[in-house]
Amino acid sequence: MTRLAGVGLFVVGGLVLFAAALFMVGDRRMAFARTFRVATQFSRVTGLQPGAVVRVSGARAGTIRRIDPPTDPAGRFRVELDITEELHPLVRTDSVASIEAEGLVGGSFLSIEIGGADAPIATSGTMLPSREPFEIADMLQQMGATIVKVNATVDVLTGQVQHALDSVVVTVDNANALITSVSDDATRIASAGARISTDLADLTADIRDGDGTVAKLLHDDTLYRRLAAAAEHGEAIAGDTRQIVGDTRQIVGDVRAAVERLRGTDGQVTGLIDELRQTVTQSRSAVSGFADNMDALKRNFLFRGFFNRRGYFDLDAVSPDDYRKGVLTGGGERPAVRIWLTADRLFAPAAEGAAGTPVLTDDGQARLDSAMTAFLDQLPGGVLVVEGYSRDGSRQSQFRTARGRAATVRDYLVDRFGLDAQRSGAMPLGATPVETPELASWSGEGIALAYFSDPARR
Amino acid sequence: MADRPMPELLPTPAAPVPPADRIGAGVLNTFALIGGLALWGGRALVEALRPPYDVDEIVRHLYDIGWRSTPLLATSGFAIGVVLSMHTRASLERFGAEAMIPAGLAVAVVRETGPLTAALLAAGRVGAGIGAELGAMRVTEQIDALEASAVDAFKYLAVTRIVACMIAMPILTTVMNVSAVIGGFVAEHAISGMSWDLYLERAFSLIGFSDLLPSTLKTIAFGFIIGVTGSYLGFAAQRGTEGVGQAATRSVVLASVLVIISNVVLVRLIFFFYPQGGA
Amino acid sequence: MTAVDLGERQGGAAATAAADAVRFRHVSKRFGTQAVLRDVSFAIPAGRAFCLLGRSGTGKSVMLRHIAGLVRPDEGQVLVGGRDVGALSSRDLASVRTGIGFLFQNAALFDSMTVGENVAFPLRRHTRLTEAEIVARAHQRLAAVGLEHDYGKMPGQLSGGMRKRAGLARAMALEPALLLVDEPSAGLDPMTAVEIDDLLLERKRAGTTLVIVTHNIPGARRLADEIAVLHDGRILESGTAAALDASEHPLVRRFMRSVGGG
Repeated sequence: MTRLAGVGLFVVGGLVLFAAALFMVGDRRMAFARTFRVATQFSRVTGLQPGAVVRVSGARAGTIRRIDPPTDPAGRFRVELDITEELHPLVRTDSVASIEAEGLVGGSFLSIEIGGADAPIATSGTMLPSREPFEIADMLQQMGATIVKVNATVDVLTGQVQHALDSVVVTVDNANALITSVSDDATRIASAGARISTDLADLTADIRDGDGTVAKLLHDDTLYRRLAAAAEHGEAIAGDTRQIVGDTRQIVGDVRAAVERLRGTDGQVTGLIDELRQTVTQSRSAVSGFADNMDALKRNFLFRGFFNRRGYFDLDAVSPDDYRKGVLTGGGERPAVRIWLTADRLFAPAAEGAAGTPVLTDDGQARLDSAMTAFLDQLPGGVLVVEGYSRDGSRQSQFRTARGRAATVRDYLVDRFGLDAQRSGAMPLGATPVETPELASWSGEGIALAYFSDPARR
Repeated sequence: MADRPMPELLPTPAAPVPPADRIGAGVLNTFALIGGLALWGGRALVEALRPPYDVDEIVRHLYDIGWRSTPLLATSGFAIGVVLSMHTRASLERFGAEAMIPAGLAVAVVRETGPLTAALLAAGRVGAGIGAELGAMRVTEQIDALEASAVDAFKYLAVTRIVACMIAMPILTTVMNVSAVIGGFVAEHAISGMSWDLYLERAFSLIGFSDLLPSTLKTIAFGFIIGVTGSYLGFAAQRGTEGVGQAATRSVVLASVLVIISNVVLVRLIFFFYPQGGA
Repeated sequence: MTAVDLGERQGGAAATAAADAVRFRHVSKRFGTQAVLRDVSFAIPAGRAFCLLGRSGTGKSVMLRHIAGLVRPDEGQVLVGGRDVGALSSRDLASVRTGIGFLFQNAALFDSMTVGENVAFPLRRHTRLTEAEIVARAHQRLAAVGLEHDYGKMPGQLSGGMRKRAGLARAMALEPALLLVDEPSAGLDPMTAVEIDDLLLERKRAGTTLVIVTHNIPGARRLADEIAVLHDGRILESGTAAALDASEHPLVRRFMRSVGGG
């Protein structure tokens, strides 16, 4: 009967089509796959819903089963998810779960990173670690806060810096020709101070421009992290700047004191000037640190991985003791290459006796230049430390001589080769060498250029 | 049977009446109509569950309502798929999101376009058919003849058609959805050369059970509305061929309007039970 | 029970309520504002042929519909075989209806079925006969009205007279004791009308009670044992054709003299 056949075809065909559609949906929802269930926790679920997709390393892997809200404000949302057995071996106990957005218009999905090969495979019921979702709103809020902070700092500091610099200039004028060498440095600080203002203005503009970039890369987590780093930088800058101001004030004070004393008595002039120079050097390093941060921040917005190349240590903060213990070698990852140079070949003998300011001879400069050629081709990456040695006299005098030698050589090299001030240091080590000098004529008086190369470069 | 109120529309006043009265009569008529439809539908549901089940009649109507509507629905679905594909392309291209075309189209079709269009087309074809057929039976006294032969005309004529509509509607919707997806594929393939497998994969990427199941099953309600409206107005047809035509026309208009209005309620209801509405 | 007495008096026949095939007791009916029947009472004894005469729109068809339970009276009672049709449950009404055949004005054949299926329809619904028996019975009924060759035709393919005969075959399918006929000669040529009347006469001889609504006076004279003239919702007068011919009522006399057509 054709009518019955038609109706049969209609009903059965329709049901088959519908069942096929259901199957297609179910298949994509992993409704028919064998799965195991794990859980994770978030303090915020940003649009994640039961039924949402789970991806392991980008591959469709399962579904969110349920999301239980926390019972108290301090708690976190507990998210349970099913993952297909197929991808089970990739999910380890250290696999990090995060909530991501599926393109510009899609919903949220849960992303699970492939775990470490050493970590045990996650079993049913494992609580996976999670990374809290970031939201563009938070990011913008943080950016706003950073801008405000930076602006405020700039406002306050520009005034203070200006004031300090004015004092310096006045003081320097007062000090007159007596301290010409210091005034040189002071002028440098002054010009660096001028840069602070423009750089900060640039930075603020950059952050503001960042808005546009941000809108385009709506869901780029990396950008967010970089931005967070930028905020840290901003604070570092503020810190640096405060230090500069503090230093500058000290300089001003010192200079004033020096001038007072100069006017009062004639004694100990050289020592005072030396002290002053030291302060200025420190201040300069702070200024250059500031400039460094500033540059980093700029590069940050151009998406350069500044942090990766930067050392995780602060050379100024490393004590000779720590240095001997090998903090800079990074547990053997950064072995040092040393070149030994004796003092008699580097410094003019006349200056030797005078209080701590050794002077490089032309021959000494030439020797340093040639020694540096060994490091030149790997220069930007690593860390250069000038180790100063001396075994004459008391420990204090050893230390001072060693420090004078190291600082002189370091300053020379920084100027000569434009070394990164952050990654070059002077280390007074007294009488005992860190390792046996590879120099037959080693007298215990001199310096060693220690170069710690960048592990990433090897 | 005897205690069954047959549909009787309020007689329209013959003499010229003041506008206010006419509006009043219109409002009364509307309420009477809605009330009549509601009673009619409610009784149909009760009667549908009570034996005897006129299976032969239901099959016969399924043939007319379902099988013979399939070509119409399939063709329309295909065309809608092609057109939707072009539209989604035009709007998604701007965002460089051409890859979303199959998913966007499938979601649009499965969630709303398919069920609603299928219901409106069925209201046109089936609703008019039921209205005209039953109207003609009323006018030529066939309904009376049935009643006089001790057959429950309501159950025999109306309930079987309503049930057939309720069975046919989700199937027709599925046919519509499938042909729309195929139509979308043809358009997509012609422009971008996308393969069937990839198209299908993407088309289903955003569809969940909560998209497919409630939106398809809600068309059972659409089928119910179409069947109830058509049979009610057919039974209420006034004498004469004019009455038959009127029953047919009014069935289409009223069924379409009721489908669209009920859709609002149904979608609201679906969102209530499936708050995510997706995923 | 004055109502019963009244009904008996107006019915004119000395019969008990139970023996009457149909009895109207003070039946009134209105559609909207229009009164169609006003306090109508009469009785039809079993086995008799009763003709309702009247102009179009006087409520004749409505009276037939009351008997079949298609319309319920606003007031009064309609008794069929002694049972109040208007007060019956749907199940009881169905059992009353299986005892009634109804030949509609335009036969009201089901368009979706063949002529044979139309005749077989009541048999299928109300008997436990086998398929073969039903088909055989339907053929037999069609043969009785001269349509033995038209079993497989659709109603649309038949002429008006043939449809009416098919309708009669369907109405008689269950061999009811009471046959209601609405305008047997309407829309038919005189020859065909006479053929239909012959068939009805045959039914009468077989013992079926006939209630015929018509405005065909010659037909009524041939068929009816008793004729009632309906005017303005009331029965003006009832009695044998001869009695009405001699009526004092001018409207009745005028009516009886006219030669009604379709």
